[in-house]
Amino acid sequence: MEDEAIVGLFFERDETAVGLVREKYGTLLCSLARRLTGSESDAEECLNDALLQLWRNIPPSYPQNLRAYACQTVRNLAFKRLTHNLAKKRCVNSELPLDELEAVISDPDAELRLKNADFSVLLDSFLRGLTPESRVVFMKRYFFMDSVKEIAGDLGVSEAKVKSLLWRARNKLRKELLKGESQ
Amino acid sequence: MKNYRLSEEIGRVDAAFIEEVFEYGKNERRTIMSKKVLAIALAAALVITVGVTAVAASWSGLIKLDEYFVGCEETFNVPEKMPKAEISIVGNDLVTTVPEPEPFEPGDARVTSVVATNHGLFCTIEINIAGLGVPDELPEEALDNHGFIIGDIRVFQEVDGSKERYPWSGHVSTEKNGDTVDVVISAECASSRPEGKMIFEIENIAYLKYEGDDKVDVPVYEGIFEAVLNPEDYEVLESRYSTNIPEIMGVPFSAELCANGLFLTVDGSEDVDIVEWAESDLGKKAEQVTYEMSHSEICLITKDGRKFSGLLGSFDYDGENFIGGGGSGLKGLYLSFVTLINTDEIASVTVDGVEFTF
Repeated sequence: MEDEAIVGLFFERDETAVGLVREKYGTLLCSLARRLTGSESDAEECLNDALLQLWRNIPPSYPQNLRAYACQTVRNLAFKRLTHNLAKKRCVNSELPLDELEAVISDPDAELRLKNADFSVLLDSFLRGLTPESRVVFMKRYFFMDSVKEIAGDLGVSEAKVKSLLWRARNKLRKELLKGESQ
Repeated sequence: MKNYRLSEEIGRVDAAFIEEVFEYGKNERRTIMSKKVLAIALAAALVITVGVTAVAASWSGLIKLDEYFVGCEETFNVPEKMPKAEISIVGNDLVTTVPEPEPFEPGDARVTSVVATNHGLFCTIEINIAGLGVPDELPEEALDNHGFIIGDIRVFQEVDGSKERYPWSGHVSTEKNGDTVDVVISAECASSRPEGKMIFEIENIAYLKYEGDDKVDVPVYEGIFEAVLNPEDYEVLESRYSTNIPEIMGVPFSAELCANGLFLTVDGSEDVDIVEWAESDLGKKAEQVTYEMSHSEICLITKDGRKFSGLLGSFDYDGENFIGGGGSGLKGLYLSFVTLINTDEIASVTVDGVEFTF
């Protein structure tokens, strides 16, 4: 069934919509959650919570891209679980590129200056300024938390190229964030 | 507790950016996936027939395949070897040159030579960098054996009035000569032939340096150069097709030979899934098959009777799914040549003893 029709079912409050999302995107969503949480049981819980959240949020939300919306939902839940696990010093996936990205604002002054910045607006603007290829590489790395090797294999480019694109994107992001704050 | 604010905020970006990841370069990804699968499939097919190799090995007068390709490099004007000054005296059917490049301004780019086949595009693009601030010499921190490089190159083609990404793989080399940078691109695409207006977007001039253990490129000029290749400026070299349809393990294959590759396609409309067929018959692990693949033998036989033989590893090896067959199976195999060849002088090609005549 097309995504638009599934969203239609949500609007009709037809519970089969939830099952259809699970059937169509369950594997993808669970895999994303598993990557972040590093745990099968946590991932399954995140998936269930995400489906519940979809049911609660649609309507009034009307996602143009159901798949992306569902990914976003499960990612946010999984990220919360991840930070919770980190706080509890539980074992997490050590290959997540968390520090790699946070190094963009590792300068304490920059971090302080950016404390109240509207990150989501800045990030959207930054992403729009990237080339499609760089943007996809950036999102695969820091949204989907794919490894450099996976990204290179998926896009058919060398790992060196992926690293270069990421390095340049992070530099650009650092500049954008500081520029955004100064405006 | 440590703060991961950026990583968290990325989860809230516009959903369109997430969807883009799924939609981006679907063709490229499909190509890559099928290449991976088919690399194994062809390997399997070749290993199956390895017994026949003895026949090829026993031929007299075999010459190393490498020599054939070295000869091609010397004889034919592939873009890497074609000085622009010699464009007018190139008398080789293999090359179509862009006539009289127009004068161009700093920041402009133009195509100065091109070879187009059914499955590839090989061209030289010249960029005028005068006054753009690109240093004459590489900085000390640069890895000088790489010289100046470009950050990225994207290729598009205009089909029915719309601009589409041309999904290519291959290699790019760059050379700076004073106020110009020559970019040579070998763009192979098994699933799409160049057609219509081709547009090249070249991003940034840069150099490479080490950042920790990683090699990264540092732009010395940030911007996009665009070069356009109009349809009247090039012709697509037609492929040659095998006149016979030999069988491999009972499955008939036909072959297409073009300057940059050999394409084997399951002949007819049979619903054959090469992967299933090869794996079920072989029962071997992929790693083992891949290893054995490097010992398979290819032989090019020219019309004047010379036989050039070599291991499959001598080629830039790839695989491609040609016919979807309603998604029922993979039906094509692809060997790409690093050096362009003149297909007209080839009489036949054998793949571990299975002969395709042209």
